[in-house]
Amino acid sequence: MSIIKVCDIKYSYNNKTVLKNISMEFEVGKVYAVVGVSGCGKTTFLSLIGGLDSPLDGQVLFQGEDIEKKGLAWHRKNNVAFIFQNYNLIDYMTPAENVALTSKLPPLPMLERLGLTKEEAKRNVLKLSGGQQQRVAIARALASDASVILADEPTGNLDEDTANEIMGILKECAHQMKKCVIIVTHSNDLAAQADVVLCLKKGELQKR
Amino acid sequence: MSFMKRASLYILRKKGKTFGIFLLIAVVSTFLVSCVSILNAADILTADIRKSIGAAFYLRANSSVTTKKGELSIEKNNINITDNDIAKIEKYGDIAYCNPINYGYAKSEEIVFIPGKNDNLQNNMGQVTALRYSALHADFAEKVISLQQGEHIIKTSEKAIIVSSEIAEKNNLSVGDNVILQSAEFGVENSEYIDVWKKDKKTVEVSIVGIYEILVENTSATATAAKQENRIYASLDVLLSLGESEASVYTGEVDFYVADPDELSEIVPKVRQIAEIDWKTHFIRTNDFEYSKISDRLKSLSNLIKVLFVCVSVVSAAILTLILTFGARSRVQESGIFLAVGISKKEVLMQFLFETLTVALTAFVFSYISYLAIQEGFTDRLFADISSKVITNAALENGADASLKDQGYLSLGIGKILTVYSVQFFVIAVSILFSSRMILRLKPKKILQYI
Repeated sequence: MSIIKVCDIKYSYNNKTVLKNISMEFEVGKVYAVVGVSGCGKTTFLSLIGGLDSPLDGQVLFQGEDIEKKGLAWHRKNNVAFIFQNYNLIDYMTPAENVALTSKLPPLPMLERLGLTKEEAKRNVLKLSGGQQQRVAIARALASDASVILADEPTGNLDEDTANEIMGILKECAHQMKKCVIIVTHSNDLAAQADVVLCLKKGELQKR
Repeated sequence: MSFMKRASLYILRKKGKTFGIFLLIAVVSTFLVSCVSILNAADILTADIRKSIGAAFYLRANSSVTTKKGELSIEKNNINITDNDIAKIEKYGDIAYCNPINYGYAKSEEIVFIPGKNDNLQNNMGQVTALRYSALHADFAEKVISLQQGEHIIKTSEKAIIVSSEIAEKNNLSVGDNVILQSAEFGVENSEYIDVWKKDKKTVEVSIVGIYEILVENTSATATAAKQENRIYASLDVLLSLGESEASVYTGEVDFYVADPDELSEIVPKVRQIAEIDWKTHFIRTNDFEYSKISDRLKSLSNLIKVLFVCVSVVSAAILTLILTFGARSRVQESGIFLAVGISKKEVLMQFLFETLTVALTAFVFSYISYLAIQEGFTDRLFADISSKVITNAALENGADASLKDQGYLSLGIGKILTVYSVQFFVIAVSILFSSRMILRLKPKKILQYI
């Protein structure tokens, strides 16, 4: 069953068409990988699904309802969670406080589940390694209780082993926690681990 | 997580930035409150100086020039002003004090007056200046004489006199002593100074309430009765008891003191319209005690301080706004993250406002303490000398020769301080809203692209 559906969306900037009439459905319990060359519009596509921007034409539907109807902020708060390449954690907060940004539940169980100790959960986020920071970002996304996790190059700054670990966590999110995980990446190795691989080329999205 | 908790975490964890903002607001606040207090002090001081200087107009009698046997003779007329006339004049404006004066002479068996030209037992007398407020008399006001001991004569004084230190010394008199005065009248007959009092002699027992010293010596050879040392300043009832004046009628002169010199030009023309006063024998002399000369300087000074204050306020507000704007712009990434995790623009704005205004409130407390310290330190240096020269109405009413004590010119009322802080609060809030609006107008995607 699709949770997110994009209907005929178009997007362009600086007179350059980036996305041409893209339509696609995304289901829970699956990991989707969107691949393509740099500047092809992968991140833009993710931003439109996540309500960070609006398409010039077309609709993004969440559980059959246009996300513009309740507002993009509402959509971002309740339906989707982002994971960024550069983690985007709040630097004056601890991991626990970063996770608490999106959830009222105690953050420690989620952080421990993702491999952080109690002590690490109370440190300043900048004192953690890159892999640990990305785990905090994933914990924040999972704690939000959003059904859709949007990850933009989540392993871009990590070494191979850590990248595989993070990918394992994301797959676990999709398969065990029944989330819809959409990953934007230029890494074919990472994309190969996804359930569905989508290729964005010349503004069009195709299943590989 | 609520915006208040996020704001608290920012304040506690970003100590350097928070302290920077705190210091900036504290310095600007202290500066502004101090400026307002100086401006306020300048206004109060100007008003005090104006009231202290005041102005006066004197109702006096003309002198008539006659020729007797080919000799030119100048004779001073008496005025004839009643309490009714005074009451009428007092309705024309804000008359602070009225000082009616009667002149007469007195002898005493207990006082030997300082001998003057051709002194003898018959002409050993002193002139009596009976008045309502001795401190306002020209001799005291213009520092010809000064109260050395005791108190001045005031409206409520009865059978009270002030004598010179020479008389007191010569006759072994001191404040609190009682003496009996006797009616007398000074005259010249066949080039002899004599007592020309024709009526029955009357006496009155008076109390010495003060002793004055002479500051400006008059060395000219005059009759005993004309010597300054022998002049007695008395309450109005003394001459009345001696039969030398009538009740409620004043024949010497009547001085009116106006609190605000600017009012003089309005009151005097009205007084001149009073038909009951014979203007052939009376005239009015005005005295603004040099106020017209210094009023322009006072106005210029006040305007200069106001211009300086406006400049300081504008520059302070501009610096504050600029720094707060730069501070807010450095938080683009943070704003983008908050928006991406679903925190609304309104909540982000509330957090920024709450943080800065919390720091501002703390800075205001600090600046208030600093201002109190500045006030304590500078009031004495700036105003002590000036305030000591300002005579209060209270001092006049009590008869004391006291000067103004520390008026606390730099102290501001809580209302004015709160107004300064409120304006600053508003400027800070507007700066935050303005700078944050620039960021929050962008779409989250754009913000995240800047990261």
